[in-house]
Amino acid sequence: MPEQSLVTLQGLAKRYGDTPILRGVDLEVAKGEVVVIIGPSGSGKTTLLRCINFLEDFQEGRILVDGEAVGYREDNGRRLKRPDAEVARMRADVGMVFQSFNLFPHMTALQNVMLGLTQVRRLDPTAARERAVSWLQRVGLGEKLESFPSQLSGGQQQRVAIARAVAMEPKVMLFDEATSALDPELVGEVLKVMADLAHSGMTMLVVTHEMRFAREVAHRVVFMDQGVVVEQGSPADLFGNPRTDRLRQFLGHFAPKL
Amino acid sequence: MMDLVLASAPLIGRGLLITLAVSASVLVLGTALGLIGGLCLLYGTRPLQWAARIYVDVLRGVPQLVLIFAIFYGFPVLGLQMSAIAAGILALALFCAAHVSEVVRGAVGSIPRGQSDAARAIGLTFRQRLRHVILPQAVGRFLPAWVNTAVEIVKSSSLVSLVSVVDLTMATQQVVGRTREALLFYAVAAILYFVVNFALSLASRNLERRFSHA
Repeated sequence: MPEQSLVTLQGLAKRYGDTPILRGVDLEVAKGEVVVIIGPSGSGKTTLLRCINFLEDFQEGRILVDGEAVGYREDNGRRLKRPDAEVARMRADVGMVFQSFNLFPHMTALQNVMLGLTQVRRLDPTAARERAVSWLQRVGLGEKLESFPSQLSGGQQQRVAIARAVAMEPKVMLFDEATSALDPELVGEVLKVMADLAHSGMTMLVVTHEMRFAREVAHRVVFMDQGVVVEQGSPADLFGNPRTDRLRQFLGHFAPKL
Repeated sequence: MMDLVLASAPLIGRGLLITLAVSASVLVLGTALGLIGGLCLLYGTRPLQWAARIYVDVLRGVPQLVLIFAIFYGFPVLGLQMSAIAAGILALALFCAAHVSEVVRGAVGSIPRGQSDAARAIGLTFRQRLRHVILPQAVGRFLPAWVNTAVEIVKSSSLVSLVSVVDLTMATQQVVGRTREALLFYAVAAILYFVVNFALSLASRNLERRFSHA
């Protein structure tokens, strides 16, 4: 019996108007697995992540998170959009970290992390505060609880954003180019937090251009191009023996770094 | 001259109070309706968006005085009797709501998409996103334009004098009629209008500072 998958994508297809973005993606992510998605820009990686917590709708296929269909319910073969409250409840179990951090600028670091805990998880303020503080300490920001986002560096902001997502105790974490907007010297601190999280057993889907992170932390690497999964396998396999020209060409851009 | 002003002070003071009461009522009612209108423009279902769009465009395209006359003289024909002051407040509030709708749409619409993405991602519902994430940030952007509207409303409130409400303008007219001191008393009225509006601007600048966390 193979390990049950936590996130399942079946034939996922999405278009913007007439432009196809995803053209039938199948993917399974097991509990505790770290999957890194690589590929050229415009290959649909970000859109794929955003479909998993239904920040984007999609036209075809299914996404299951822990057995439950994301975004739509099937009723006698008809596909119905789930109501706002249901979508929100499912999103609470899927953490997401964005390229541009997206911290709430009118709230302190602590308030950013506490918001979901009090409003969505319905923790009382004391318990929420305790959990938020412990996560902020874990990402190395125990001294910055009362700082507003504008007073923090990019790396610090992104670590708050990670704490905000992880504190919800989601079943899976999505990272959408979490280090792409950072100055090079700040990338390391964020990758370190992500690696710690991966080693703690968190299920993760990571879209990134950091090939070293993919090589060292991923259990599996997925290469996407033009809206489909072209190749996937262990980091050693994928980076060592790319089977397709498209992947070879893509990796060629990173050759000096590898 | 001082005697003249002092003798007329009670009448002008009562007029000023009416002007303040009319303006405040219009702003409270108009802002509440405008908030609803703005949210309909942004998040309403298609028909609701259209209804709000038409309302805003029509109301902004009609002179306020025509609105006041239409309600004061027109509604009784439909069997809706209304006092002059109520008709004036209603007419100006409907006008104010149209402007505030646009202001709300602009302020809320200018919050970056990433903010609502992040709010969605932690599982907040639509209402929670508005209440905790979007509206608190929109307030800072909303206030300056809202004050412009408020200043316009205070000035427009003088139109209710044309349906015989004794506001600051009408009271001034009455005093002038009695004393023949047109220049003096219209200057007094002008100064009073200015002071009210200047106070409004100052108050908003303070609020703006409190709401900006740049």
